[in-house]
Amino acid sequence: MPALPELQKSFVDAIVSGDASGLDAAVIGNGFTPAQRLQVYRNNTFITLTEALAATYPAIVRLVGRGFFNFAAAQIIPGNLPDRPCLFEYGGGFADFLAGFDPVADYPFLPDVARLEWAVNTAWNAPARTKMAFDAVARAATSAGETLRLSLDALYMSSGWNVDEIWQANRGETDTETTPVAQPVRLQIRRGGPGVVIERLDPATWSLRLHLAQGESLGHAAAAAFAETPDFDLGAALRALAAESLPDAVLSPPKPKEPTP
Amino acid sequence: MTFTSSPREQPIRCGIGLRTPHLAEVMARRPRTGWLEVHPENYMGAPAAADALERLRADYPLSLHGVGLSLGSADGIDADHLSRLKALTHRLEPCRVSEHMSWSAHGGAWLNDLVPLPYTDESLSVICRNVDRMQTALGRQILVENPSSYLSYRDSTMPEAVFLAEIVRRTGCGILCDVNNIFVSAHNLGLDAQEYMRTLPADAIGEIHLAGHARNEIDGQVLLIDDHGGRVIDPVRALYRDAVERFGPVPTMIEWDTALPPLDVLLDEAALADAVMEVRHARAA
Repeated sequence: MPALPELQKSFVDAIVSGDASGLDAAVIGNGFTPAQRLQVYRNNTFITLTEALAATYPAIVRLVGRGFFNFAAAQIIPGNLPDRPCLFEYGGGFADFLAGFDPVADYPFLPDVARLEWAVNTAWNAPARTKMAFDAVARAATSAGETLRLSLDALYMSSGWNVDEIWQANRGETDTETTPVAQPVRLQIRRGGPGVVIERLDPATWSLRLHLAQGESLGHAAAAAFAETPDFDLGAALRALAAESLPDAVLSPPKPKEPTP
Repeated sequence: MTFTSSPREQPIRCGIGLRTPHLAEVMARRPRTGWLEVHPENYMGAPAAADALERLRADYPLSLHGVGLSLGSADGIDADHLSRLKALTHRLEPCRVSEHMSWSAHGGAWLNDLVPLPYTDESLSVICRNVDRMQTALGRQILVENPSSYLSYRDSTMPEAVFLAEIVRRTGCGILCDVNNIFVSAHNLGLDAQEYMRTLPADAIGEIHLAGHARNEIDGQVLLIDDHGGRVIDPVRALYRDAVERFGPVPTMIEWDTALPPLDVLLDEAALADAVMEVRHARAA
């Protein structure tokens, strides 16, 4: 049986668990114990992944302090090693982890701040896309009507807290006072200018764009918007969508389901 | 400076590792340096970063030094990552592409570290297969870098330098000889750095790396940690002189990743390496 896959599996297991006993027979001590030598790799892995998380979640670092952040990272890293090599893609589960992390239970806004930071990271690192011209969006809407499906170059999230203000106050080098306020906010996050732009949207506009961004048809998305605001101006909302250069592609209609024999 | 350009369009001078905090300053100042090396993984996301690099390409030869492909993985290299690397290589047309003689991933989990292999026939087959795949995908020769190691395995049947030379023989790749890594591994594993360098095929050396390292004391004994966090120490510079003596002047790079100092410190280190190459070059002339 090939020895290398077994060795690599044991090595990863030892990094995750901190128990190097599975490698005692494989590693030469030469003045140190195998565990001491393995610990260097464990430290490297934990330190660099903690740095990667801190780079993606700077507002969380400022809110909880670096010491506590390192403690939290040490809890999440063992069960959540990266599943790909680029570190800007690491840490998408951090918000869910915080939501279930007892020591921060008294800070219920933290998971949503983390969700916003992940959305900012995702928007910033998204591939460049060619935006549709205003006229092209108008033509597509006219020809497809309610069945129109558009790809939008933006992310959408909602929160029960003023997470955008909390994020804004905790992203720079200087302290800015902000008070967490329990209030519903609906946000659009997209790359713009030299960074990422976060905007609050009204419930109907947010609902329309969220459902479109999820790949649903204009008919379904509009229904969701009307459910929020019965006198929603759909025409104006579509013009705004095109004017803001949000659509980057018309999606083909979903394939009809095969009839059951 | 009297060095002639390499036929590979990479000047035989010392360049620097370009890290994100220095990107804006390099864009603005365009300092004199032989070439720039970047980690491709840092340019696979935000389009603005790759755009900036594309602009720098007009003024500097660029070398892509991968850290994420895990050439030593028994379960193969990641197809998505390889195709991203291929796209970036196509876009930036670097003078060199390099990776490491190590592994980082198993079973879909990445350690974000460069772990040494046991130097066995099985490992040789694995890494040669992966190097072949990388060279085929990119359509070019790559350089493979010797790792800095904190442990070795009982199962190894050949010295590390023999293993690296054999990868070169089987795949036609070149070597990125990290002189600091040889120094660090020699200390940590009880190897002979001179013998290591004598074992490497001189004509396969395509680049040299220089860096600082840290000393970590454990129970009264010192383990050297390759943290790329300081100036090149004198014994490593002496080893570099030996390397230049043996391999001839080779494109060299100052690698600095932690506790990043002002850009001028890196440029100063690069000038010191250039001076070593100039002495060798003048004597050979």
